[in-house]
Amino acid sequence: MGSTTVVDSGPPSRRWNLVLLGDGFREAELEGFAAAVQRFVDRLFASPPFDRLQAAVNVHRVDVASTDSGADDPVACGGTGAAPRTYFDATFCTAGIQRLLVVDDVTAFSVAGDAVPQWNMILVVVNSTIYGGSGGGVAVYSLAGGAEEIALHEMGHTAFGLADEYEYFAGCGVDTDRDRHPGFEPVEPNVTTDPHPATLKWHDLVRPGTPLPTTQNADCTQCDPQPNPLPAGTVGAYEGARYYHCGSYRPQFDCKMRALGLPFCVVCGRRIRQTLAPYLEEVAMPAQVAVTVTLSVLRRGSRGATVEKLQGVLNAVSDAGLAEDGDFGPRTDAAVRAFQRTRHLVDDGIVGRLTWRALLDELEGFAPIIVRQPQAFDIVDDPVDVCGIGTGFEATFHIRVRDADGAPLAETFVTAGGTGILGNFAIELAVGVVPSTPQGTLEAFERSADDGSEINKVVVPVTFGRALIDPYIGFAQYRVEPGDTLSSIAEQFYGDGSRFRILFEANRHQITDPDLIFPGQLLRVPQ
Amino acid sequence: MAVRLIFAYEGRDLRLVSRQQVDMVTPPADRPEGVGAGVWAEVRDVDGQVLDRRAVPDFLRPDVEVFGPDPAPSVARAPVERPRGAFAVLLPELPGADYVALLAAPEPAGPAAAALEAQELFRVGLAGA
Repeated sequence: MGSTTVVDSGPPSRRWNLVLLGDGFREAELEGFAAAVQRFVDRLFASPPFDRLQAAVNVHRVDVASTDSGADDPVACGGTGAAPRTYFDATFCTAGIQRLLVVDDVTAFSVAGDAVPQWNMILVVVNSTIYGGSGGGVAVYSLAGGAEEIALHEMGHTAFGLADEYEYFAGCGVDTDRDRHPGFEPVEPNVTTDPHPATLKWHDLVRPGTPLPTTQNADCTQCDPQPNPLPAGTVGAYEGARYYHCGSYRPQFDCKMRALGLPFCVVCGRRIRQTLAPYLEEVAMPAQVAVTVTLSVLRRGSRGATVEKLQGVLNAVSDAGLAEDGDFGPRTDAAVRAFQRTRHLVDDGIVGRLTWRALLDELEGFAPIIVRQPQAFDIVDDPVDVCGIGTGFEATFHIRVRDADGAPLAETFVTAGGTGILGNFAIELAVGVVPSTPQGTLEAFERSADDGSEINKVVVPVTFGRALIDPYIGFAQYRVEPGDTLSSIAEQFYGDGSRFRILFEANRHQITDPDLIFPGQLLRVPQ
Repeated sequence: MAVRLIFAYEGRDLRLVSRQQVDMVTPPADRPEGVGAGVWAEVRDVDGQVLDRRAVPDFLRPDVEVFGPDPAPSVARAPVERPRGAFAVLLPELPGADYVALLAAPEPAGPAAAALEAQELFRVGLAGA
C-alpha cells in the first residue's frame, strides 16, 4: 500500500485534500487504477468551477492491491455471481439495486486516514466496467464510461452540501406522491421553497427582468414538461426540485445536481468556491510598511503568529483590548466584525485581502518611506508617476517596477529629506515597454550605508494599464447590477465578452474569481 | 487544528468509530442557524452555547441515490429498508469547546406538516481530545 500525490498544490495541512482509493485492483492492475485516477483528475479540473480552483486542491492516490479483481456481482440482480476478495469489499446490487455499488466505508476511512490524515473527500474507484456507484460518507464509482460523473455529483453532496435539484423521486411518470414539497425551507444553498425576488436565496445572481418564479408547473401530479423558456444558464427560480414536482425551486434549468453530465449551476459553483476559498494560496499582501509581509486569511479558530499580529493591529487601530495571544477566539472575532462594519466591509469575521488592506491602511505613517502614489492596486500608466515622503541615508531613495514574475522593468533614484527628516519626493519613472504581465509591483527603498543592501523597502502592488489595453487612457467606472457577469460587462463596453479578463485584471483588488462578482461592486473598466 | 469524528450507522443505530485530531484547515461552517431538516453537528461550550455548526450527510433518509446511464433519468432515488454505512464530521478545534452534539430533524412527509423538531442523537465530549 502506498500513496502518491497526483496533484500537489501545497502542504496538505493548508489544502483541500481529495483522496482516491482503488478496489478490486490486483497488484498487476494498479497501473490501471493510476490511469483511472488521472482520467478523473483531468475531468475534475476541466469542470467549472474546479478549473479555476486547482491551487486549492491536492489529489492523492492510494494504491491498495486486492487479492482478486473486480467487485461482487450478485445473481439476485442478474449478475454473474462473482464474489472476488477485494480490500474494500465492493459490491453491486446493494439493497437489491443492481447499480448501487458500495464499499466498506469504515475501511475506506481508515486507509485514507492513514495515508493522508488531512483528507477532505474520499472517492473509491472500483475495477469493474459495470456502471454503478453510490454516495454518502465516501463516493464510489466504477470504470464504466461516464461513471466519473457519479463521483462529481456525490462530491457536490458530501463535500459541498448541495441538494439534488431533480424534481422527482424514482422518476418522472413513476412517482405518485411527489406532487408538492412539504413546505419547509431546505438548508442547502441551491434549492428553495421561496421564489420571491427579495428573499430568494440567490436573488443577487438573478438578472433584472428575469421572472420569478421563472417557470411554474401547471400540473403538479407530474414533472413539468415545458422546455427552458430562457437562454441556457439564466439564473432564476425554476419550479420542481429536490424530489418534488411543485413548491420547490432550483436556480437554473439544468445543473449537475439535477442530471449527470451537465455543468454545475452558478449557485452550486459559488458554494464550491466558498468552501474552497480558505484553501487557496495565502494572500500575498505587500503593504505600506517597511517590509513586505505575507498575511494569511484568518478566521475564528486560526492560531499563530499572524493572529498575534492581527490582534496587535486591532488593538492599535480600534482599542480592541485584545490579549495578543495568537488565538482567534470569540473576542477577536467580534473585534474583526466591528472593524469590518466601520469600514463598510462584509462583517463575516474573515480577515482576507480587503480587511487586511483596511487594517494596514490604518497603520500607515510609521515607516521610513511612504509611497503616496501609486496606491496599492492602482492602475499605472507609462511613465509611472511616483510620489511620497521619506527619510533616508544621504536623502536618496530608489524606485523600481517589476512585473509579476519579478523581472525588473525600470529603475531610478530620487532625493528627498535627509536623516531624521521626512521630505517629499515625486518622479516619473519611464517603463518604455509593455509589461508582459498585467500585475506587478513598485518598490521604493533605501540602500544601506553599511553594505549597500536594499532596506526599508516599500512594495506596492500595481496594475499596468498598458498590459491591459494599449494605449491606456484611463478607466471608466461601472457598478455591478444583479445578473451581471464580467463577460456581459465586457460585451457592453468592448463589444466582446471574451475580453472579460481585462476587467478581471483591472479589479484584482476586489475580485479573486472572475466568476464571482457581486451587485454593488464598483468596477474599473480600462479604456 | 481540527477534530475528525467518524460514525458508523445501521438504521438509527449509531456508534462512534474514531476521534482524531488533525492539523488541517476546516471548510467554512455551512449550516445556517435555526432548525432545518437533515442532520448536523454542533460544537458547544460548557454552557451549551453553539460555537460552530456543520451539515452532516443525512444518514437517516430511508432512501439512497441510484444511477443509470440509460434509460433516463441518470440519477434518482430508491427506498432502502435499513440504510447502513459510515460518515465523517470535520470540526474546527475551538477555544472553549466542550462537546459535539449530533442533531437531526427528519423531513416531514406530507404537505404543511408540523414544524421541524431537532433531536439530539449523539454527544461526544471534547475535553482531553
